[in-house]
Amino acid sequence: MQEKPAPALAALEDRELMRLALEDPSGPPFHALYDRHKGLVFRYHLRLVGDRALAEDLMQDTFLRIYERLDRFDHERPFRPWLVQIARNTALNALRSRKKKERSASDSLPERPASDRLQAQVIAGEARSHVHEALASLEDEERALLVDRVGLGMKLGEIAESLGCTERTVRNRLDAAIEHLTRALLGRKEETRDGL
Amino acid sequence: MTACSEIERLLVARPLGGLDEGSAALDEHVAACERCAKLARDAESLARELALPEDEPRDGWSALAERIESDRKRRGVKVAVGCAYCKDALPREEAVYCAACLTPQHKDCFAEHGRCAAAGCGETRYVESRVSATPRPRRRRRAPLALLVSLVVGVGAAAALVPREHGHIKVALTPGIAAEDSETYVDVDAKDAKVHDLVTQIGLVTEKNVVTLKDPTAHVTLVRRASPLSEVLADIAQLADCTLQRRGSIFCLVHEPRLAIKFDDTDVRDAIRDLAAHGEVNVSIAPEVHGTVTCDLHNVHWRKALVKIAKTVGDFEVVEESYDFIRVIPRAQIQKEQKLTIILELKHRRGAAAADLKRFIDLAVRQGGELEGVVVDLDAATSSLVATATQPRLEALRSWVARYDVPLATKADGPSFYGTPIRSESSTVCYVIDISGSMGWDMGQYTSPDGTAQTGCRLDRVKAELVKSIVALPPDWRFDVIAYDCGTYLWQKTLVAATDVNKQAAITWVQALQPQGATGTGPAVSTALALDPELKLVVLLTDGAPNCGAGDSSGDGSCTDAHRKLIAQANKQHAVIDVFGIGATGVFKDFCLGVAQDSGGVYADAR
Repeated sequence: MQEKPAPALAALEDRELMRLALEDPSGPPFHALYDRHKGLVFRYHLRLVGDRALAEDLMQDTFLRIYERLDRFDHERPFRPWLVQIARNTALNALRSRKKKERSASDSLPERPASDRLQAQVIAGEARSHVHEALASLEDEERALLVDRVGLGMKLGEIAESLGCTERTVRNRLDAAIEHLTRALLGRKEETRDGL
Repeated sequence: MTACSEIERLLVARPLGGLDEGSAALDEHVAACERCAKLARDAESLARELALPEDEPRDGWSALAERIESDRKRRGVKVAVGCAYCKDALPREEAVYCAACLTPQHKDCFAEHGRCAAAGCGETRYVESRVSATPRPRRRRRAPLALLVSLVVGVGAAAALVPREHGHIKVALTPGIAAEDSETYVDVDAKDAKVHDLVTQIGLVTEKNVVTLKDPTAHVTLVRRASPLSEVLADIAQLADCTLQRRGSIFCLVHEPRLAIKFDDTDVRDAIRDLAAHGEVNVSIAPEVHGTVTCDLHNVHWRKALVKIAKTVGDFEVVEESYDFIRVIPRAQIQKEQKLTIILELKHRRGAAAADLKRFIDLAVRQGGELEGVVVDLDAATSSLVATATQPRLEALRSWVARYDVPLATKADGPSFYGTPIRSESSTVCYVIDISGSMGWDMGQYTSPDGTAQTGCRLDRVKAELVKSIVALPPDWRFDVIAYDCGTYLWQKTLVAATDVNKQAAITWVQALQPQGATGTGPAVSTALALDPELKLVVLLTDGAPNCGAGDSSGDGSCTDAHRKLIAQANKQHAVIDVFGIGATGVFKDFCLGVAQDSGGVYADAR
């Protein structure tokens, strides 16, 4: 369980490692897969959730899910979209859960005095550029799609594979996200000009 | 050169992988346009923000390996059940259970032995789950010695007990009906069955927690097909003279003996307390419950006696808050407190407009008032609101929805603005139009009042809508127009009649407006409200969070709050303020919704 993967495994393709892992679920093949993709999965989660500790937890959750679904992987299909699909769903679930907690916390907290709130907003305003605000205005799913495309450099076909939809659908969703960002960027700049 | 509005989206799409074609035209435009160059730089920044960071995770394999190992062990654990008679393995589908002690045995073992094989039992009846009905091939005995011992013990036990010759219990999950979250469907066939045995068997088959308390002694005969578990248990409770209580996930059939109760000119509050103490429950009595009671009751449950006594002194009800807490309160209070769920189908709002209304209601709920405590969900597929609250709150919600679920996109007979009918109880309206610098942005197509297609900035489009609205004003209306940036500019210092001459003058004034400056929404709306005490409708159009004339001019939440407060304080005549927001999101949209909500107005997106 604890042994390092044999050097020869590093030369095998992901799908071959998945095939071997099916026979020995927690052995060196799975360890080799983990070593090969943990950095990517971690950075993907870090980009989406913005919290290092949570990203590491999500990375582990992702590989645990892969372990649990070893027998469901279709060996005729590429591995990376499948991996991204699991990583994305894990992150989106975590974000939904976090938002739910934040909402319930904010509902139960009394409103702070105006002076505190003003101070907090000023600090937040200094720290966040309008680019961040534009990104924050996106839905989590839209942001994940853009991270797939820009961060992971996935082709539309790969994204479609991992989302289980057509390339055209991916293109439409991408267009909608870009439209949203364009409006957000322009809207922010216009407000700035108003203040002049 | 290409127009900015045509390439804005492309500039953002290019670094985000959303552009397939060449981009020479974009570069040419960007080189000559500072605004678009800035947008392009922002888009590049966005792409950098979306790129994966350089960070590396800790190894973490050991922790993952531990979790995998733990998972594997958890999956590997299997609970094996053996037959009490032959000691062989007992798959669930082959098992029957003793009707008295529920000891599992093979069906043919039970038949061969003639009674339960458990030491000291000897029950001659068994129960089986639906899945155990399939016959199995006979097996070879592996423990003849155990058989002999069991027989000896079983016969001895049988001699000590009187077997019921005609009683039986059969319980099975109803085939073909999927278990729902809160209900399970069962088939029950019981004849002269001991309540405890029957209930235990039902619990076993349904995998629910079902218990009996205070030893019900009755035997019941019951046949039910495809019945909800709760209904079956309620029937059994009635037959067995028990009460059915729900204690969390546990169904309890409580056998409460009948009493003889006598009160002679006793304070009703004391009588209720005595009965509650007898029933071992906590009780809360409303202050309205008072008086004296005289009664002589025989063979009654304490709970029924309590209900009757409460009714002798007025229209009071006993409410069971939980199994160990009851309240005695006026009936009218129950109706007020009872929560109901209703579905309100929106007639005019679909998609984003329906979501806007839902958000509007949420805001009102958060702020308390007449919608406090209302839980609303939007079923986007049917554009329906699913609301849960007490009856008075639901009535308030109905009136809210009736007020705001109005046609948005269809042209109404009366005056309208952006397709939304505008209504004024005193036939007065003041249009308050944002002409800040940003109103000169965002070129787009629109239809001019004469029906021709035009291209123009936000202010051009607003002018077109405003002219259409002014033209449609009935002659008996009075109106004014105010434009604002950081300053406030009045067309007239008072409301004037909507005559053709006045309308034309107003339109001429409107057409001359030019975008400039910042956004002083609060002072502008306050000025409108001060025009005339009879003014009952303000139509506000704005495209940005207020950042001038009130608060700290930051345009952030504290600033918008200050503007909203200013408007609310100025609205002494309780005028309705309908708000139209261009590109409204976040704090800005909250501001728009808040102003509309404070005054009972509507909010609609504009473009």
